[in-house]
Amino acid sequence: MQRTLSTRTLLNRYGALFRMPLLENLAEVGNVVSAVLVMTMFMWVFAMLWQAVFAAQGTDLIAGLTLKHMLWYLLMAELVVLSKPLLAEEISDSIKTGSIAYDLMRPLDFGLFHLSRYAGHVAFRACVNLLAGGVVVWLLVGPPPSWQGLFPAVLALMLSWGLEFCFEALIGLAAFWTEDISAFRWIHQKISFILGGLFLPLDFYPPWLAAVARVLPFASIIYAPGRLFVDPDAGRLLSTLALQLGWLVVLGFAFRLLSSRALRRLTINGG
Amino acid sequence: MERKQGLGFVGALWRVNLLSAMEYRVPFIMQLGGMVLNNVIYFAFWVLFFDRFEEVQGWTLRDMMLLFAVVASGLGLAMMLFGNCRAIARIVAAGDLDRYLALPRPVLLHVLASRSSVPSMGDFVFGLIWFVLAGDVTAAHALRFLLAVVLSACTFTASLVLANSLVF
Repeated sequence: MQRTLSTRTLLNRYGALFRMPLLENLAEVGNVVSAVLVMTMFMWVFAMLWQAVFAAQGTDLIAGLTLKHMLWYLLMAELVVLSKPLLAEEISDSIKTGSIAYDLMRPLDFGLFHLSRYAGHVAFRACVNLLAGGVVVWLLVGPPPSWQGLFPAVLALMLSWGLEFCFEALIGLAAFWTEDISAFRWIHQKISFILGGLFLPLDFYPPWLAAVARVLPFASIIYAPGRLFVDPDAGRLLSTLALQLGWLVVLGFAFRLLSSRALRRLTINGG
Repeated sequence: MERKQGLGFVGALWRVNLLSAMEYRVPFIMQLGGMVLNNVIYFAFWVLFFDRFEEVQGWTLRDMMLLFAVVASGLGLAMMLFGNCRAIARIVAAGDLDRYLALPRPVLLHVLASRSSVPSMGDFVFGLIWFVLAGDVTAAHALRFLLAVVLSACTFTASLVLANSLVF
C-alpha cells in the first residue's frame, strides 16, 4: 500500500514537472510565433532547393524518393531538431552559477527531473512545429505519401528524443570538468546533422558512408523517424526500434555513470 | 577631431575585448578551434550534395565554398567588432542600458563594441581558409572577397540592430 502511494506521489511530482514547461511555453506567445516562422521558412527553403534539384535531374524519383517523400521526410527530421530544448546549456549554466545545488536538494532524481522537464518542452514544441511545418508541406506537395507511417514514426520520434536527451545531458555535465561546453555542443550538433541526415537522407550518401551512418545513434535520432514516416515497413520498424533501444541503453548507462561521478565531484568540492 | 576620438574609443574597446578573451587561453582556443571545426563539419553536407548532383541551377561546390566563405567571414567580422548586436534586446530588457546612457559616448556604438564574440573569430578564420581553398586567389579576387565580407558584416550588424530594437 505504502509502495503504491509512493509511486503515485512520484508520478505526480514528475507529472507536474512535465506540465510546467507546457504552461511556460503557452505563456510565451512570441516563442510560438517565432517557432512557426522558423519552421515555415525552413520548409519553404527546402521545397525550393529540392524542386530545383528534381527539375535539374529531369526525374520524379531520386534514390527511391519523390519530391513529396523528400519534403515530408525533411519535415520529420526538422521536427526532431527544432522541438528539443537547450538542455546542455541549461545544465551547464546551472553548474557554472551553482544553482545545481538547489536542483540536487529537491527530493527528486537528477536525471528524471531533467527528463520530465525536457519531455514537457518537446511535447509542446513538437505540436507547434508539426502543425506549422505540416501545413506548409501539405500546401506545397499535398498530403503525406502514407498515413500508415504515422504510428511507427511517433514511436521512433519518442525514442529519438530520449536519445537526444542523453546526448544533451552528457554534454551539459561536461561543464563539471571544462570551463565552456559550447565547442562540444556545436560539434555534436553538426555531426548529428550530417550523420543523421538532417538536410539529405542517408539514401543519397555514398554507400560506405550510408552503411556507417545507419548504425550510429545520430541516424536513429534524425533519419529513422522520417524514413519510417514516408516509407513504413514492418522490417524497418523492428530494426529501427531495436537499434534505438540499444543506443538508449548505452547512452542512458553513460549518463548515469557520468552524472554519479560528476555529482560526487560536486560534493567533494563543496566540502 | 570628434571622429578621431570616436575611432580611438572604439579601438580601445576592441583591444580590451581581445585581451580579456585571450586571458583564458584554453577556452579561447577551444571556442575558436571548435567553431572552425563546426563549420567544416557543417560544410560536409554540401560536399555530399554536390558529390551527388555536381551542378544545380549553375551552382557548383566551388560557388558554395565562396558563399560560405563570404557569409562566415562577414558574420565573424560583425560579431568580432560589434558582438553585442545580437544582445541589444537582452541588455534593454535587463535594464543594463542605463550604464551606457550615463556615459558621454555614442550609446549605440558603445553598446555594440563592448563585446567581442570569441567563437565568431573562428567563423572569420574559417571564411578566410575556405576562400583560399576555393582557389583563384588573385589580388582582384581577394579585393572583391574583402569588399563582400565588409558588406556582409554591415548587413548582419544593421539587420540585427533593427531586429533587436523591436524590444523598445
